[in-house]
This record gives sequence, structure tokens and C-alpha cells, in this order.
Amino acid sequence: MNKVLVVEDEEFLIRALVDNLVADGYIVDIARNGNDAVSIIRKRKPDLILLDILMPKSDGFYVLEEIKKNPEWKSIPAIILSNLGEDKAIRRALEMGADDYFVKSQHPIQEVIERVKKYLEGKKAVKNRSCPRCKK
Amino acid sequence: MKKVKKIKQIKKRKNEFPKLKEAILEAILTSVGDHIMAVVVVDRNGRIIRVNKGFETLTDWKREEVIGKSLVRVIPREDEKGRKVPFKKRILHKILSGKILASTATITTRGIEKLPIFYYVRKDKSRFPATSVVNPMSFAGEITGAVEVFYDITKEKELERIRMDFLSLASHQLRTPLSGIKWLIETMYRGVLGEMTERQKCYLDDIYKINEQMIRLVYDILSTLRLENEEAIIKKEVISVQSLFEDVLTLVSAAAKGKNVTLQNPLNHRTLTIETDAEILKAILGCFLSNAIDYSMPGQKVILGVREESGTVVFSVRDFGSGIPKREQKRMFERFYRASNAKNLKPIGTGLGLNIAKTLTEKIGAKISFKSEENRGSTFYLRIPKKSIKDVKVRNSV
Repeated sequence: MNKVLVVEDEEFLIRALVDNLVADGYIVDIARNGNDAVSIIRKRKPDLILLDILMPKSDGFYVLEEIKKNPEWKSIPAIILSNLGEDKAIRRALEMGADDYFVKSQHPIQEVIERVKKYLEGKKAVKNRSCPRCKK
Repeated sequence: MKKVKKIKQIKKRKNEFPKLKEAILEAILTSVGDHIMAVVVVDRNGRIIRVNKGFETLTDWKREEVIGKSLVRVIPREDEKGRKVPFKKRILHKILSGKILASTATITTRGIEKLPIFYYVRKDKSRFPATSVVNPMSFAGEITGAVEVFYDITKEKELERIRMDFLSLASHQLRTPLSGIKWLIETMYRGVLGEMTERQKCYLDDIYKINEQMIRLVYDILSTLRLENEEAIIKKEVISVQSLFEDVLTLVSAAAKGKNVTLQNPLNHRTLTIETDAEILKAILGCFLSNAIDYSMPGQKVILGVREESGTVVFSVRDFGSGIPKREQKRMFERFYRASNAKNLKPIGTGLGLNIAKTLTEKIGAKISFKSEENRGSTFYLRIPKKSIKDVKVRNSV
């Protein structure tokens, strides 16, 4: 079962994301700020991270930087879920290596969940390709 | 005797006249702009012949230190990144050489009035953002010099920064609770919490719709404010009109279906291409189509058309709905303006859609227009050069 780390400080958004992810069979970890996120990644490396940007203590950019500079973590897909909608923030996140960026209010939650599925299926497919014998 | 005395007085006054004129001029120059506006007069070679008190305050140079020196050397001009603007590119040079007639303090870029920003370097090498007006002095048809008036816009820049920071924070704070409502309702729709009764679903539908309207309103208001301030990044790409139409029709298809309005588009544009920013073009046509659907009656049709006219592509969206009363047509692009009959068909609207569409239109160098008749419908047009954004550049009066 795939592990998804939800990094979000708003309880109502955590609830919506967790309920949907659990319903689809994912194991979900929750971090409410950037520091917690990094320590959870260290303890239980997730298969994918849903990452808010504006949070108390340390923000999503900090988490992104930590993930991308660590060779063991940098391949973990990081999808930004933020209500910062300006080009500057989006460009910065993508340049830092974020795999996707959703402005939360502009996208149905199902769209986010579908994207999670796509990334995790993609990961599986890559694994299969790298080990063609497994298919036999 | 009396006559002689009077003549003497007149002669004396005549002799004093240039001095009086000088005193008046000095008083005007000193009082202009309350010492925060610099006035500098140069001869035909660009050498300073006069400065006011504001010049001394802003640049730290004393009058006696600069008279007779070249203005462009005394006050170097830099761009945003600190690069020196070469003498030949300075507006003063262009005016003295007769290349341009005058410059103003504001420029219009894509329809939005902005201050051209550059920096002037003070005596102590520190710099300040400035904007300026330069005008030539002419005598007997020849340019004999020029007058430059400039002022420090540090405060304006700071206000702009505060405004943008506020916008960014406000949009985030407004969107977060709205996205929470949206996602929680969507989670309930999914049945994660168990099945709902029809009546519960009905209530939830209403809450969801209201929330979507709020999201739209916040988005529209912030887009309008941002468009005024920001130099949005305009992309340039060759797009096929056919795929453009497919995309915009998909965007509005749910709304059309919900209202039982038929969307039509004649297939006469299979090979037509256009070079512009696809997202902006989609947003404008999307706005036309949403309005056409909103202000049509159920069972009516909306026609999306396109034709080519000597290097210009003309898009049109026609509906047969409520139309716009003649006396109100002039105001349709005003911010927050909604026609008096608009509320009958769409009670809640932001009155921002066409205002945003117009701003976007100017950004890609296109033109927007419409014709409409009350109770007969409206047709909105977008005229866009096939290569629309080739020459649209921000021009700084450096």
C-alpha cells in the first residue's frame, strides 16, 4: 500500500484530503508544518507528498528544498496544494522541483486524488520497466 | 517736467523687467513640487544652465557644482537591474536631437497606464526610483535646449509593493475557507460518509453553488486588481483555431447543458492558425460564451464563429437572449457594472467578466466590441492580428 504524506495546517482541508485518500486505500501521514513534515519523511519515507506552502514555523518551500537536496528523497513526487495563486509562487515551486501545483479553490478534490493515483501508478510502471523479468 | 520724470520711470522699469522676470522664474522653480520635484534646464548640448531647489534636494548636488556640466554625466540613469543607460538612449538626447518631440511621465502599455521606472544616481552614488517629463525649448524653429522635470517615486513603489503583498495575502486568506467548503462538500458527494437523502443532496447542491460563486467572485476581483498592477507574462505560440474552439467549448459545455442552450460553431476554420497567448485568448472567449449562455433563454442557441479579414482574425459569439439596453451599452466594460436586465436571468454576477476580458484583450494587442439589441440578443467580437504580440513591448522612456 502506498504511503501519502499530507502537509497542511488547516484542519478542514486535512479532513477532506485524508477521508478521500483513505477511501482509496492509501496509508496517510499528516504533518501540520514544514519541520514536522521533514521529520516524518525521515522516519517513514512516503511514496508521495501533498504539500501546502503557507504554514506556521516553516513553509512548503523549506520542505521542497529539503526533499530535493536529499538524494534519497528527491524522487518522491511532491504535489503543491496551495491557495497562493500568483505566477511568482507557482514558478518558484516548479523551479524548485515540485511535480505539480494546484490552486486549491480552483480544483475539485477528486482532480487532486486522480493526480495522486497517476503519479503512484506511474511509479509502479517505472519500477516494472526497470525490472522486465518481474513481468514474466 | 512731469513728463520727463514719467519717461525716466518707465525706462527704469523697462531696465528692471528682465530682473523681475528672472525673480518670478526663480520663485516658480523654487516652489514647484515643494522641493521634491527637480527641474533642470539644459542648453542644446545638454549642459546644465539652471536647476531648482528640488534638484539639489533630490540629487545632493549643489547648484554651483553642476552648472555648465553635462546633465547625463552628472545624473547617471540606471535600469531596474542597475545597468547604466547609455547617453544615446536617454530621452534627453532624443529630444535635443529632435528625434522625439516630448516625453510624458506615464506610458501606456497594453492599455494600462504605468509609470516608467528607472533610477537616478545621486552625488553619493546611492540611487532612487524616478520618473520624468522632458520637453524641448525652441526658438525660431530651432531646439535651443530642454527642460527635464523629475521626481522621486520611492513612496509610490513602496505602496505598489504593499498593495501586491496585501493582494497575495488577501487572496490566500479568502480562498482557504472557500476551498475547505468546496472539498468537504465534494467528499460528502463521493459518499465517503455514507449515502445522503435526496433532500440533503439538494441542500448541499445549493451550498456548493453559492460557494462556487464566491470562489468566482474572489478570483475575478483579484484578477482585476492584479491585472492593473502586474506585467503578466504573455506567451507567444502558434495555435490552431480548431483546437482552441474545442477547448473553450468543453469549458462551457456543462453550463450550456445545464441551461439547455445549444452551442454551435460552423466548421469553416479547420486550418486557421493564430499566433498569440492561448490561455488569454481562451479566457476572453470563455467570458463571451459564459455571458452568452447566462443571458440566453432555455432552448436558444449560441454561435461561436470566426473569420479572417486581411491579417486579422475576428472571433464572434452570438446569442439571441436578453440583449443590453441601448442607453447602458457604453458602460458594459466598466468594473462591477451590470446591465439593468441582467439580474433577471442571472441574479448573482460580479460585473467583472467583461472588464477583465477587455484588459486581457489589450494585453494581446487585440480589440473588443459588441452590438446588441434588447430582447434580441448580442454579438461580441474579438479582433486579433494573426501575429498579435510581435510588437507589444513595454517602452520605457529611458
